[in-house]
Amino acid sequence: MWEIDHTKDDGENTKASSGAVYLDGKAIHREPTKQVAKKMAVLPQSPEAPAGLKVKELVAYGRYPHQSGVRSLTGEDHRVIEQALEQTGMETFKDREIEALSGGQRQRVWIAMALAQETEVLLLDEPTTYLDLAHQLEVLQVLKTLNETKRRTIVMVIHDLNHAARFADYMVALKQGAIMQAGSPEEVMQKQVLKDVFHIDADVVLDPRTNKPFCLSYDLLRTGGE
Amino acid sequence: MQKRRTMIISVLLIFIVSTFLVSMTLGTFTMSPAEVFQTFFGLGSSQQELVLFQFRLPRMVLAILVGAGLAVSGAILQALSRNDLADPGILGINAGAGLAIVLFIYFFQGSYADLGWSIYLLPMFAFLGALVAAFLIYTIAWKQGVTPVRLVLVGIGINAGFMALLIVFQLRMNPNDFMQATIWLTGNIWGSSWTYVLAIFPWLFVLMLLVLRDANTLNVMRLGDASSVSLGVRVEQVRRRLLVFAVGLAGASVAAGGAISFIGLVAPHIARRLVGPRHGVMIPVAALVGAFFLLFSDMIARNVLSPSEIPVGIIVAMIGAPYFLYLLMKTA
Repeated sequence: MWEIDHTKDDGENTKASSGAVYLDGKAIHREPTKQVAKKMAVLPQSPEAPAGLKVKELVAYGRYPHQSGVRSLTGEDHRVIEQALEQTGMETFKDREIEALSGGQRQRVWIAMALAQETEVLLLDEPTTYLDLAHQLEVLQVLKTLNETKRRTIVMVIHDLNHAARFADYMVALKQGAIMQAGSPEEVMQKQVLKDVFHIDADVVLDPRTNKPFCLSYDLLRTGGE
Repeated sequence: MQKRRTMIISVLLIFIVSTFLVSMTLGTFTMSPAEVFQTFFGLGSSQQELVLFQFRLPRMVLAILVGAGLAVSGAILQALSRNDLADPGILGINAGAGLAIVLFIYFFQGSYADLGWSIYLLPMFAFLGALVAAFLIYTIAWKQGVTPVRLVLVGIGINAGFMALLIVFQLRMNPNDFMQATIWLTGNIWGSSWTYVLAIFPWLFVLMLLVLRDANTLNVMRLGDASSVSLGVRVEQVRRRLLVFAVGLAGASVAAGGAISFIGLVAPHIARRLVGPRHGVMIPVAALVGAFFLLFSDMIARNVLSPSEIPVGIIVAMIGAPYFLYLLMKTA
């Protein structure tokens, strides 16, 4: 599980003007889109489902890259969908309309859809935004379990440093598109790194509950900066 | 679920067939159901045969085709714009088709009467007009890709522009043509002959098959660009293709039925309420709803002020506008 932290105005809106993104050693812009979709799923920030769509129907959309033409779902498709619902704890909700769910449940449905895509890599853009504290943990724990038990590579952008440190095996701190520091949470969650990336003076302690570095409190650094 | 779907489709078919049957007996020239039945099996008078086979039947078949075409066009546009209030009328695609046809008649024919073989060119022209409108909307809305909101807003602007142009050309027509053009733009199934049916049927049939083949893609597109890309859709390419389908359906429909509004908006919406938002099921149901809606409205339009007819577009608007307002109030 990888997590990427960055200052909001940087990485977010940066568009690659040169270079290429490689997946399994292949430049993805040269690969057929459907082929890429079988290897990597991307969950955008706050996606929206059309009104009236049911949980299992949205999850079934995740099979799109594996389907061809008008053919309806195969037995294999149904098996994968069931499994995705189960892994995200949504099987009891499968006949409910998505609109009727809580924020955390909705996010789990979208994760289930991405799982139904059966990709090795799952990219998430701030999956915990707009969720309350309990729902944030709920979503992150689902992802952690997938990472540990199903061996999926999970890469996500997240602003909450403490969540990143708690759940990630590997953290990358970005500033204006450049990697400032990468490594284990212990290597990245350091006073100096936080100062360089966010211009903050942070108190990093060890969380007694998780044994991971934890940013207890911080102040903005007053020196002019940029 | 499967059962409910089958039931809804059966009920819609029963509605269409019964409206069809009732509609055959109604009109200035009255025929009893028994007479219709006899005429149908070749036992009626020559006058009865003329009215039934040459006037009423083709017109009813056209109503069904046009209603279905507009409904499917609306369903595609709503998915592409991710906006349940989009439809070919609101986006200016109908106006584009309408302008092309008015221009065609203005320059080449001089009169609506007796178009002869060039009837077969009409869907082509309507399609071109609709395509020009869609092209303008798409290019003006383009800004490193097309966002749904820009698509809708630009569409509304294009609609207003085309409507203004239409008025310019209408004002230069002779009073008789002006009257005809106005009726046509309100929406009127004017070409009630088998020639028109033959002219638009192949278009609609092929396009609808193509759209159904893309039902799964439409489902994914409705989730937005980011999700579509993640699921392996080449978004801009697919959006262009589906836009051409929607334009083709609207263009052919407008060629035969004039600029009928609201059906493209209301039919997909009713279909979603009946069977949910998945396009594989929703689109056929929307087509049936649209077909029934226009067939029924046309029956009223032909008969309510008999012997004179009122444009079917007025009836559609009288039913559609309140529903549209209700939708707006509910979604706001």
